[in-house]
Amino acid sequence: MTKNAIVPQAWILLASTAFVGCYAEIEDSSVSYRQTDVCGTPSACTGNGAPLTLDSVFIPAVNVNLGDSGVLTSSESKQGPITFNGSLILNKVTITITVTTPQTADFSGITSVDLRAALNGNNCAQIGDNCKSVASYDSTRDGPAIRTLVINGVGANLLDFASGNNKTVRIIAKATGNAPAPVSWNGDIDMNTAIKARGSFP
Amino acid sequence: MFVFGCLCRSVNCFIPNAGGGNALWPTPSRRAEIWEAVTFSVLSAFIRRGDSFAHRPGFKLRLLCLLVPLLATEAVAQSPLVSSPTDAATPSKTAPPVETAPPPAPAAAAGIEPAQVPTIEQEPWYSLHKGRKFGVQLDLGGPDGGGLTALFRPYWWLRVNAGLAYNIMGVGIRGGLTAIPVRWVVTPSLNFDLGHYFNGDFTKFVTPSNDAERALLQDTAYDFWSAQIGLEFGSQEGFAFYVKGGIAHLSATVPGAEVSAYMNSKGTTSGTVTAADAHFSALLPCFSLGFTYFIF
Repeated sequence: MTKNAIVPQAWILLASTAFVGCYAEIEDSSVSYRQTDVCGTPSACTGNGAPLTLDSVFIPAVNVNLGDSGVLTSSESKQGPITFNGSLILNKVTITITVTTPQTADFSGITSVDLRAALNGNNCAQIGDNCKSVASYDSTRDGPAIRTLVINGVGANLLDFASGNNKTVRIIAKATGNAPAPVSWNGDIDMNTAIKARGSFP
Repeated sequence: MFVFGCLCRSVNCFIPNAGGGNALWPTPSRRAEIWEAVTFSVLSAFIRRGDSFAHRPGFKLRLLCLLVPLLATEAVAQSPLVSSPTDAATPSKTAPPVETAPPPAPAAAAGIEPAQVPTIEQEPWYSLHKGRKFGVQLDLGGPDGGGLTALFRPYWWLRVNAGLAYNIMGVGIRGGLTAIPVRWVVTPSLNFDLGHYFNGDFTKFVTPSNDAERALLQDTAYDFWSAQIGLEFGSQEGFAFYVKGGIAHLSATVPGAEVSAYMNSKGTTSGTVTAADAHFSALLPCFSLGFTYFIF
């Protein structure tokens, strides 16, 4: 192929890319929503080393308001030729013991945790259309937890479970094993996510 | 074609006078061969995409956008008003004679056969340019903004530029390379530029809803690069006007503290939000027009 035959092809290649695949996006790999005193104030979570099953209330349901920041656009939407979509992927959830009576509480008795996101007020007794597993902890796989329990996400998009103007997500934790040994304890919950919002054309 | 022909003559564009055609000014048969290659590549590229592609919205418009510059180039190349030396040497029944014959080359005046005069493209690609090497460039476009840059041309086919960039949102620096694969009356160019804006005040275009959003939008430095194809009209040794189009990529890092403040200001009532640095990027169509002027 001669040089003069190659040049027009290079033009066409460059010109073609100008009209396809245009986008604008913003992403943040680490956005943490933190709530203190996850078991309420002044009430506390159940302790006493009580045996836990998947029906037990390990910690009360947590409602996380993601806020109406504009970048949290869950489903695909169109404005003219521009298509918007976004995601809020759950990286991990960390529960940290902050208050304990006496001061010896830890999560060493916890065997597994299944963190679930509920829709439409579902109590997440069963996994189904209105309740999905979004993160899990397994002491054998992840190692024993002491004062901090890290529940790793499974890649769920929390925006699929958000509702209302403030995009509230209801999180319910189910656990097996034994609750922390002290009579009562309390802690903070930190939900680490990755945000991505994208508008693409055409 | 008439417009292109008049423009060519008025700006003293580069027309080699070597007989029989050359790489700068191919013979009619060679031009036909080039055009055939262009046509084949356009059609085959789209045919390979399948029939369904042709039914997508905007397909015909995009195809038209691709073909217009190519047609314009070919139309000028075939224009009788700017006919090549070969054409001028062969009287045509339909085309008027060339009004201004190119001046005799010094080599020809010295008795050397015209075919022996090396043209620019016949020189080795690594030969340093013997004409004007330094100039200025002023352009305006989007989304890169405008720029005033200095030009340096080490080789006839390569230009380097560096200078200042400005758009309504802020000021920056930029630099780039321009490759000119051939020199025709309307010269095609391949351009790559990159730059950095030191600040970007997006509140000039977007009205923030609160102070946190204002802080997020008011002081955003960003980087950009662009790849464009262009057409240049005029003399490569003097003044030339150009239009370019292609793609531009913008990228910026937004400080985590500002992202956190913004997220907390947007109704996260049940707790606090802490964010790491966010990254913004965009790939957009771009265009620019401007001129180059080589001084010495």
